[in-house]
Amino acid sequence: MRRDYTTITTDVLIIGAGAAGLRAAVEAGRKGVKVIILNKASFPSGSSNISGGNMQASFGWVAGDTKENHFRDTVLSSKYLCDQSLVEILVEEAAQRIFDLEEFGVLFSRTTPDRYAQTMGGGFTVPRSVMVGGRCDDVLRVLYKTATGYGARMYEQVMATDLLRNQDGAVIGATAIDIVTGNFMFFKARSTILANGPCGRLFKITANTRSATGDGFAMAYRCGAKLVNMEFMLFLPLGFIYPEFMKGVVLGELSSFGENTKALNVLGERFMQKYAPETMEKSTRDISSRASYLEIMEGRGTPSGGIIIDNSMNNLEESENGPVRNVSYYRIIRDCLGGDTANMKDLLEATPTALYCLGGIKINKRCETSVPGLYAAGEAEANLHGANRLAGNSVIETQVFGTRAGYYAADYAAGVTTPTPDPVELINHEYEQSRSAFDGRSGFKPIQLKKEIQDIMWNKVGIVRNGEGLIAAIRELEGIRQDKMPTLYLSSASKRYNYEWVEAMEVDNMITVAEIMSRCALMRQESRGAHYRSDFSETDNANGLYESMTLNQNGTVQLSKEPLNTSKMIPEDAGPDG
Amino acid sequence: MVKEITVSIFRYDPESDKHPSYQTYSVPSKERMLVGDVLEYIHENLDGSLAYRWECRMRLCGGCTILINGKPGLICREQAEPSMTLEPLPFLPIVRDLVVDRKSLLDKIYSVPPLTRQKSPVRLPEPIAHEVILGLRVPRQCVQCLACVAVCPATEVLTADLFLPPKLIQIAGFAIDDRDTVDRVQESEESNLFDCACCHACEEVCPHEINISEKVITALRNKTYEHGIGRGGRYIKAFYDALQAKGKVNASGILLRSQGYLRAIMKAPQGIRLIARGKFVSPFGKPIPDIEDIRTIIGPTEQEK
Repeated sequence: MRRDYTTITTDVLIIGAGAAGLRAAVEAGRKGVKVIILNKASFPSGSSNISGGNMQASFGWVAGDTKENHFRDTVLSSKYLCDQSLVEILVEEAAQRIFDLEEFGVLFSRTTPDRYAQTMGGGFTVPRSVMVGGRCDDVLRVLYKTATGYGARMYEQVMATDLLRNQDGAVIGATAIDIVTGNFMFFKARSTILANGPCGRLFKITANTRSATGDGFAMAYRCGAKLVNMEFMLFLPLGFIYPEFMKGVVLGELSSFGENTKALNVLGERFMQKYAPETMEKSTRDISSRASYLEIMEGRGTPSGGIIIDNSMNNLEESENGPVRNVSYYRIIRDCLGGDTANMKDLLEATPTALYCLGGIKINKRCETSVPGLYAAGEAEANLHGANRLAGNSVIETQVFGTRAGYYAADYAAGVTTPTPDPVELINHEYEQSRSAFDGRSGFKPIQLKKEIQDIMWNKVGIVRNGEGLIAAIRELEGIRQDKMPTLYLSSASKRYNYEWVEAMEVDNMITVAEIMSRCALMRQESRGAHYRSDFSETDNANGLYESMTLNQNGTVQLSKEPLNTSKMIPEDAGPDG
Repeated sequence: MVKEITVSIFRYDPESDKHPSYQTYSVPSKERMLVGDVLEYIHENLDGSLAYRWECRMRLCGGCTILINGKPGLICREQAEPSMTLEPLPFLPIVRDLVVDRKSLLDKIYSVPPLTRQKSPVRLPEPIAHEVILGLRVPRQCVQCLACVAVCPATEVLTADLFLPPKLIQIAGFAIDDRDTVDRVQESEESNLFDCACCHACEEVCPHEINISEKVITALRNKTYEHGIGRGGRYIKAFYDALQAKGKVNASGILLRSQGYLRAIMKAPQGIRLIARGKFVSPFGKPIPDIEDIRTIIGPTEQEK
């Protein structure tokens, strides 16, 4: 029997409506194919929307600003774990993608009328990031207008639940729920792009948006696509600690406050002395985050569970927006914590926060995944960043690989001639699956399981990990999946904007990705970049130079160690540890 | 004893409820609580069936705006108060509880054509001064949270279909851009630019503190004057002439003079309603007694000069 659903047919289906998905929509739209974008939230959304919008590109205007240097900085920052063929594409195409954005209508800051202002970042050999004024939302609006101008159509508040494949194993679209009405939908597509990467919501404290529950990774995994380097999660040292609602939202970067910023624990000690005596508060984000996390975990945090930032020694007059140079951040701090805190006259409490998943769906240069008809772009895709990422490389990644995903997915769509009939069996199965949450009568609410997962991940798979904790985490996650998930229940039977229902589907995705991340972290018996093991605290170049690969083998996570693409730069080149 | 926040929340499921109702919750109060904290507490501990929306927490998605004690605000920005009433935004169809369907208005706002150049820039980067960029970025800070729409008296009188501050903000963003070739004057007049009363209510609620009266309304109005006396200019002239002639303003007279007979006839239903309520003022009344004083204050007419 055919369940009640709506079929919508398109050439290219893009799941995720951040900068990567929209850029893909522009490119596919330009090629004249029909494009549909699914957005779980309402526009504008995604991690790019709340990013500062800095994008790295080499223009060659400053001495030493070469593509080779951008390549080298990126590979060194990745601790050699990136796919160098992808980095080559990034540095080659970045400048052209910036020009594209400006042609669409984005405004980049200038030094002189025909030169972009470029800013420095940790790990850069030269200032390289172009800026859009500290806010990226305008970039999304420009891309949205450009994409819709080419005929792309966005379905907002529509959550894709799963990818469907035909007998040949090719992806033929996705099933989805319209969150507003609760209606079930099948988006039939000739090719599909996953651009719904972020998974910060796996962690108790994150800068990510409400929707960032790893849906893209989980969907890709379930349909048999390979994931790589999923143990690498990037954390930032400075997030809001209260109000509770704001927990994890980025306060700024330690380096952005001023020269004389001090990071203190509850005892008033400048704790960076212990972890990085030479670089102190100017250390890279992974080292600062790890130091703060250890201080807090070892009981030297404030009663609210944070560290203290003391800016009183800074000259407060040095910037027009006060010491917090980004005016959006300044206003948020002012409204939440008061004017004196925003002006850095009062001490600021902060916590490390989960920011970005460095791993993701394995792609080639054409953004093809290991499954025919399935493409990935943006944070969903990997492996561009390896073990650590330069600031400003992720937004430009959305542009470079979004463009490629759109281009090649449109090409592929044009080659698929026969429209497949609806796979009614599969759709019915997905339909039942998605509605099963309504069958429960007592047990756990989705938000309770979400919180349990977030606690496990923060405490055991977070900034500092160890074998014992990771094994415990895997066991606890399995326990949630086997014992608690089947007893999920919802407070309301309404299908209209029932966010508990959305959360029930998110919990399923979260637990899948959490388990993958934990298992990859357990396999990697070394510390490298964002992945730190207290039981293996050294970088092990003899055994650690591999890409960790995850594959769904009939429902169980199968891990393997794959060789790295080191086509241009081999690890010995730069000496130990970059 | 733990202090409590008493919050009364609008509940309505158009599929199953005949009428909206209000439900009261008690939420333990603590230091530094946003409205978002109160809603999250309810979701996690008291009632999972309450529908509300949030996404980014950085005032950039514009999706979490509701009425807090009657005033529009973002739940990620407004502080919780000891006693609160939370309601959905007005003007929009209710999806459920505090969630509204914003699509009808957002489509209108996004319908503003993007930056349209005569031809693609020949040289890249396109030469443009940084100071100019800073100015162009001001109207681009709008995130379409619709808070201004909810407080705007012009919107209230005309309905949100006809006067949308965020739409004018969008238009202003391109109108002040010298590279743009679309006729933004016509666009802004068609979007009822001259219906703004410059009361600044929008600015009080704008989460991005955009100076709407000056950077949007005045900037666009100045733009229309550059192009001679359009509908907007006629409006101001009609206003001025009415004061000159009678010392008082008469709505129907101004309507006739500024919009022409055809458009005025289209507004006849409104006129009939005014007559029915005894609020219609004839345009043919006598001047006020102290008309000469008024004339002294506002100066000579265009002809007299």
